Amino acid sequence: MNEGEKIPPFFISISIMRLSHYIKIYPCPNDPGKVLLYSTKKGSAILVPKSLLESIERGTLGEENRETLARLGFLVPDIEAEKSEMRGSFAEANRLNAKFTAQVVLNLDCNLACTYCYEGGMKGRRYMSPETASLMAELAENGYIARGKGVDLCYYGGEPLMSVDLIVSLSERLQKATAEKGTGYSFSIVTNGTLLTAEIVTRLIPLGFTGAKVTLDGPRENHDRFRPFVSGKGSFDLIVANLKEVCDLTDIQVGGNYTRENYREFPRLLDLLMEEGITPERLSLVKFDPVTKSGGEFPLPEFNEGCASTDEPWLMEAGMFLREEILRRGFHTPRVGPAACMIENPNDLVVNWDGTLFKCPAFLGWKDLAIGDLETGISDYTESHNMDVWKKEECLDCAYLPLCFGGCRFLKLLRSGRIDDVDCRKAYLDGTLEELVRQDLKYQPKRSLK
Amino acid sequence: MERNEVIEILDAGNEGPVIGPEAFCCTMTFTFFRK
Repeated sequence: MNEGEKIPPFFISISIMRLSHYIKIYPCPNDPGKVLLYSTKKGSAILVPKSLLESIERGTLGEENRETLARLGFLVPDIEAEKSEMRGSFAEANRLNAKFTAQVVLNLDCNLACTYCYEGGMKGRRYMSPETASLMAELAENGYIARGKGVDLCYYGGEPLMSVDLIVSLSERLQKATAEKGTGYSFSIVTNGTLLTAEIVTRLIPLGFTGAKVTLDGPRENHDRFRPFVSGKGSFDLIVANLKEVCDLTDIQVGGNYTRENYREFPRLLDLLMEEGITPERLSLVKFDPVTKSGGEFPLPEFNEGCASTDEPWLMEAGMFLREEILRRGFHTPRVGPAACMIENPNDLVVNWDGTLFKCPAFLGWKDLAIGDLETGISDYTESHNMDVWKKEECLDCAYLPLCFGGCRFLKLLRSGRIDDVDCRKAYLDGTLEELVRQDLKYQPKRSLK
Repeated sequence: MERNEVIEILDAGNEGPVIGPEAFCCTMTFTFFRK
């Protein structure tokens, strides 16, 4: 064929277009003649007659349909090329990423004594020193800002607002450095919410503060059992009072950590928030997650209620139940869609209070998974983090790959003591994805083909 | 014979690459901000 000559549509339908590897087909109970197709790669969903699948098989699909299905991710010219494209997904994402993103552990101190604390036995009066903070700022300035990249930090702890002066000094320095290069600086905070007053928020906003994630573990009695002050007093009422003050000043995400025994109580928290005037439009996101087991070198010997796998049947039930309760009240929660562990992003770091570097905040108690420190730099973590673990045929052939990309490395670590394989989500997604997709179609805004 | 059956688009999904910079997260244990 000569250059510039168009491929006849007939040739495309017979020889080229195939069903993508990354789709799921679900029945349509209200109309047995149709099926629901969901693309895990694009997050798209369509309702089609069953005869359309036969047309694809036979190569008799009309040109208009062929083009629509290809744009929505259901048809691809070459399934082997599609698998190669999936292998290279992160190279493209990282090329597009114009920012240095880091979670910065400002301290391991806290005014709460949560029973399941992820920092476990590491907690104590350990604070990032001004010297370590300066080294981190140098890393951002020399490694990223100088190359024209912006900076987006997430301050974490312990309780980051117990280091508010350090947040201010770091932010002033990085805001100035990014402004000089014409890039930008922003930051968010993962906080227990007890110190998140309107006064603090108003002080931080001009420095680049964009929002906070606050944890409420269900209604008052449950929350106060799991997240009391060090004194033993409940923290629920103070956090809710703070949220009422600040939720119109900045983006607030409400998270909550549930167990098998208490997840059914969590919808009462949503009702209580609404009674307090913290209505869905005043929160940017609500998402509940199961408490995981503690581990590493600093486990919590007295806490045994956490999970280490998504395969436990109660987790599927709990996840779908809570998501429905969140959505049907009008709160926002993340859509089902492609997602990947942050270890895949080379520009994403966790900077510990002492300057050691990690790839995930859940790895903080695992010394073997430190990837370096601020003084000596980053070492090669390809092997310790088993970076290519999901690039095997079994995963590349799995329709769920775009929703998983090897799953949560921390859960695998909890089960095996090392990242020796993927944290396979197949059983979990077999049991939940259809329902999760139907929830999104029912409650979330529809996205149109542009 | 080519056929154009009716396709009802319920959700057109995401434009662009499979994984965008906003999609990196700690999927199980934490929800972090990605804007």
